[in-house]
Amino acid sequence: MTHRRITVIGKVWVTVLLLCLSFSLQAATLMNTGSMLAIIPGETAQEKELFELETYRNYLNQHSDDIAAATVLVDALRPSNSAGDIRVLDNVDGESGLLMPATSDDEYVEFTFEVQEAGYYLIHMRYYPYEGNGNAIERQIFIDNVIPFKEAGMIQFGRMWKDAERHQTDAMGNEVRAKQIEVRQWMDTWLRDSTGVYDEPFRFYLSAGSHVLRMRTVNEPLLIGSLKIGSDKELPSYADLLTQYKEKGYPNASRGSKVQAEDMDSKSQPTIYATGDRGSAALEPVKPERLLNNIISGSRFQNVGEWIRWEIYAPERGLYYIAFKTRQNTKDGGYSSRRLLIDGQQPFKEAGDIRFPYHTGWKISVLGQEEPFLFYLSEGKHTLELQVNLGAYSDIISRTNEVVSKLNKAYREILVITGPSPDQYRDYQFPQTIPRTLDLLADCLKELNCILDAVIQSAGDNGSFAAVFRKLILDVKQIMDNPEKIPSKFSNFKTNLGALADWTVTAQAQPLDLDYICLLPPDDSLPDVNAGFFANLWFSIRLFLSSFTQDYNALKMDGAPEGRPNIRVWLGSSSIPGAVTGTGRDQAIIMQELIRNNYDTEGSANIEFQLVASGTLMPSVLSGIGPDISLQMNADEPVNYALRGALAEMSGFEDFQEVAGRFDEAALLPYTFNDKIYALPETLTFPLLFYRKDILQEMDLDAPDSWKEVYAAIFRLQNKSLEFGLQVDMSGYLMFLFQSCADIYTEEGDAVTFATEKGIVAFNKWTNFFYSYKCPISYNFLNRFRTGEMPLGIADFTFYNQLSVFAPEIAGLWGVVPVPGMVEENGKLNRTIPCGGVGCVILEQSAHKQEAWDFIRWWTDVDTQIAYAKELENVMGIAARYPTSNREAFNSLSWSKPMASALSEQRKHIRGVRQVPGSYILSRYVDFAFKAVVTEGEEPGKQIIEYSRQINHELNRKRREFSLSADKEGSK
Amino acid sequence: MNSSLTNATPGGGRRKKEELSPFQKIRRDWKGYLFATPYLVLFVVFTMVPVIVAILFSFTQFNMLQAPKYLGFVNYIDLFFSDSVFLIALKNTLIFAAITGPVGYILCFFFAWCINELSPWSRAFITLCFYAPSISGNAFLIWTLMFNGDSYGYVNGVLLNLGIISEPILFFSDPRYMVKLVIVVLLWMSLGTSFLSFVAGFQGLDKSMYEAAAVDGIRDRWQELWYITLPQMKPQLTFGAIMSITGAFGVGDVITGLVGYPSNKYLAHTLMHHLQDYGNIRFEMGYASAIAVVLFVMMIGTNLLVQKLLSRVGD
Repeated sequence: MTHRRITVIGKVWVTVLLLCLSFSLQAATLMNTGSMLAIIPGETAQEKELFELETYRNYLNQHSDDIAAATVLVDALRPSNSAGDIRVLDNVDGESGLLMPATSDDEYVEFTFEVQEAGYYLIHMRYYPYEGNGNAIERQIFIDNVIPFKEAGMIQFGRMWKDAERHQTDAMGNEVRAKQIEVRQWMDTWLRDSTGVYDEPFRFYLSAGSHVLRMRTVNEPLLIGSLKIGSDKELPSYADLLTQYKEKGYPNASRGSKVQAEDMDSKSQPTIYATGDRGSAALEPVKPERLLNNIISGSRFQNVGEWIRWEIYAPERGLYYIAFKTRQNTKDGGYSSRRLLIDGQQPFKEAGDIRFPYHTGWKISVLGQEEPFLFYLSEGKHTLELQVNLGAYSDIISRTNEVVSKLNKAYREILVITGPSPDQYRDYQFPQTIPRTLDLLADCLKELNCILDAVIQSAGDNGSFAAVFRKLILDVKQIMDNPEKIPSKFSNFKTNLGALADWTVTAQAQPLDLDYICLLPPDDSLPDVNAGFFANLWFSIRLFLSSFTQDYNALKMDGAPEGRPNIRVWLGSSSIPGAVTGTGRDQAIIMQELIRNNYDTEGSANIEFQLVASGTLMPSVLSGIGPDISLQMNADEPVNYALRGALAEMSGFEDFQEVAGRFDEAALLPYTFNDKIYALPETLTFPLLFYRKDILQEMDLDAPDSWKEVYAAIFRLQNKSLEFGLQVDMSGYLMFLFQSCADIYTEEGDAVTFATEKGIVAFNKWTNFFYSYKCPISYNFLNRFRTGEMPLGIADFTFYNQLSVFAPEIAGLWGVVPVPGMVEENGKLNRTIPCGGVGCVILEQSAHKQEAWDFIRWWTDVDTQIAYAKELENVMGIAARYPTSNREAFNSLSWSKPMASALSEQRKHIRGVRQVPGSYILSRYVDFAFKAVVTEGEEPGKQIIEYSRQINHELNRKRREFSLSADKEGSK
Repeated sequence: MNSSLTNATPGGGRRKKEELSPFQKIRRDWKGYLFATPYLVLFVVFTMVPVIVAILFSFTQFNMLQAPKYLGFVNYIDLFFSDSVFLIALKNTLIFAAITGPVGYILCFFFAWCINELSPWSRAFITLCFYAPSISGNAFLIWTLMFNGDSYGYVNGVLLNLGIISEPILFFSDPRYMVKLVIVVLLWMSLGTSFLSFVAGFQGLDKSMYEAAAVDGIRDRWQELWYITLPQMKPQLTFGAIMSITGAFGVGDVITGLVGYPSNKYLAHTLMHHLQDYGNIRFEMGYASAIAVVLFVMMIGTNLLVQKLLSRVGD
């Protein structure tokens, strides 16, 4: 503590630095002594290797051989070796298959086979998506005990979905989203890159002789029907095909046909579904007064690998043009790319690179180049399939990703020398200190120029696309020419590098709106895409008029049975913590659908579901027009309402204990007051430790398991100007408090324990990270984690969703483990952390409490929660993954294996934050104490004691307020 | 006006008027009341009633969900004698009001006076520059970017580069900088409506008065300002003063946007914040109403004082 005082008074910078250093050293050594070495959490060797493996591009460069012509059939039902519960199932949809049930940790099958000639081979597989959790099916491919290249370590097998029923309407005649069901059937595929960066199927190099192919389970069960190692037949070019057509003398068709894009036969993802658009009178079908699901929106059909299949009827045998009514108004200066398959086959080479260029409105796109393509179809039903691929972008994007990762590395190497704010007036002697980084930059510059050429060639030389590259090239060039300029160019360089990483994400999206698909007789004229001026005018007038009669907010049910009580359920449009999008209409619609499909028929009440603005509840309860149930209340609200007698006690219902068993005890704690429980948790969130595998490995560090290891890691990180991210809000303090086995309040909840020895030590530890170890106090974790500046940090587990969606360039480079723990006397690690979430309540005003309870019981049930979580993910993608508090439902969400194990380990060590009268004051005063320590260098112990006195004062004041009101009730 | 009308009626009008009851007066002047009704209804419903209700609530304990309970003057006694945060908030409100009110007011007038001499085009442009911050509601957030506590914040970045500081300063939570910065931003924001009304007021001045004054032998620009310009602008001055004062006393959201809510150690806590704290967070509506009543009385009092002062302009 004397060190502190001197630092403040002295103000001699050198002394300050030295003292800080010595203080931190002392702290670290203190931590080191007397504690046992902790065990680093398990992490399989394969994962570690995965990001170190070479990319597919480099793999291909190793051998000059061509694709081999030979084909080897492998008996898929008789593996030469296997591990796990592998068995043969007969007669699954009429065929036998080898089941990989994904039940054990290290499950694999091996097949031994022989090839006659050396060369590249493709692998063809017939598979059946066996019943699992509905997540992506993923396997790793080993050839002779090694994963030959990085991408072979994450091969995904697609599923097939379809609409359960089409054109269902609600009470107001608006069409609702179709329910999605999975179609399980045997499917054929060439093993290929699931990210779509490599368009062709993977080539595996095999020398002549015997080889072992191993397939290892990552996720989800799968049946293998057959395996073939060989080559695909060469596709003809369109010109060749056309000569064939002419030789055979196919006639031009004279009648066409049409299918609406929303009438899909099947599709790859449940997220692809029809949506309503009333923007033009020429859309088919369209009604100004009703919302009809009439298009496939580009935002739902844009990710590489997604496909939609339609069934179309060819009225006669002959040659047709194929045309789509499309709109692609998002990729300005670029095009959306698709592959066309007819009856499951790509008809010719050019059909693999179909481009839909930018166009502001709807247009008829006839497939073709200078001349439209002719397609021969026999009379009868055919399937048309559009697959999203990257076309000419695939090469550009894979190369860009590599350059970005190299440049990120260079960025970190410069950061080591300069720190985040380089001194412009200092000569860092870069050519001497980091010569290899400059070489790396030179390579990158060359590569960037090559990619820029390729971009211009494929997308044309227009502003936005090429500009991202030009800016970065300029930066790198300036750095190369004058390395001493690095300090002044550094922040620019970082910004433009980030922009390029973002660009690869946007460039991979291939959105395309579709209205209908038609087969056109080549001699006919194109259908009209515009309705004409007066038709549009009349349409707009009707649209405007109908806006007066439609209630956009009430999500009403149709056909409510008579004689049941009405239960009003409110969903406040607040935001779910951690999720990218707030609770809004999408969530409300999904809940409403769930209620209609699963609750209405057997439930005891009619549910009137309303989406209300947040903050509406209090005034409505005050004026007596509140709902029966309010969903998604913040964790601190229910007890506050309950104290004022506004909530019905949930623990009073008969089967409460049984329902409460669905949740962790910690999740119920915030809703408990005086042994009565007033709400049930809906979501549960808690933090985990995220770390960058690549950077930590470069520094020969493991993800820390205890705080002792964190201290050690911070030193190593700071040597390289890298940072550790720790919570700056009260949850950080509570974590240290809980880990030293202290509670927040005394038993009665009338005082906090902050001023006890444990409380003071915990506060000291927490603030020490910021005061002595200089952890940043304000930072954007996502950005710094991406650049690698903050390779280690504690964040809410929902950060996982954001990383998976918004940071594809570091996919596979990061890991997640439980938060570091404090070593207890018995040598065990205490990893307890505070958890949060939202909950649902029943209002005391409700006249139908039992019915309301029935609804809550249904809503928090495992099946309902799974259905809701899955639907939410289907509609809004993985970024909106719902952190349900129902334990069983949570476990069935599609977490990756390491994430699932981190979650389940951490979930054993969570603790709820109790709510007592006046508990709002805690975070405020803890924050004051925190700031006094980190900004003014005040003595932590003194601060927390002083503020804990003030907290207790407020708690007691609040208690008096409520004990007064309790007296009054007693006297009644 | 009514009385002058009645006086104009010849004969026994005067005697008759004395006999009229208020009801009869309303019947006679019903057209006037009819025209005033829309405003009166709005004024009563949205201004009078809330003020009266707040005054009534301030004598109760009211948690917003259960019926209020009469307490007498307990809220006021607590407020002045046992609530240390209230005193901080009162002090801060007075400081902010004293600085941003008068200083902002004088600056408004000074800038308006300065740019009045410019050509119309450049005057319009500069007016826009001054007025823009207060039109575009959250423009003050630019300051949070400049004074961000991170090492990538602009000011921190520059200072670090120059070697003046060795680690980023948390401008908006460090007590040494917080209040000063808030005052600067408040001044920057205060060139609002009153500034615009002054600019307009200068346009409407009667030019002939200046000539007359010159003939009468005015000595310098200050005399001209005091005796000619200001008296002519009294309506604008009053309007501007009321806007400045209500603005200065009611300041809250801008501070929250800058330093967060609540500010570190309540250093930038104003009565507005204190009111929100008790109303929205602690659910103590009675106490919050007492704070509101205090604020209300302060505003009324200051307004009366300022109007007194303004009445002496040009004397």
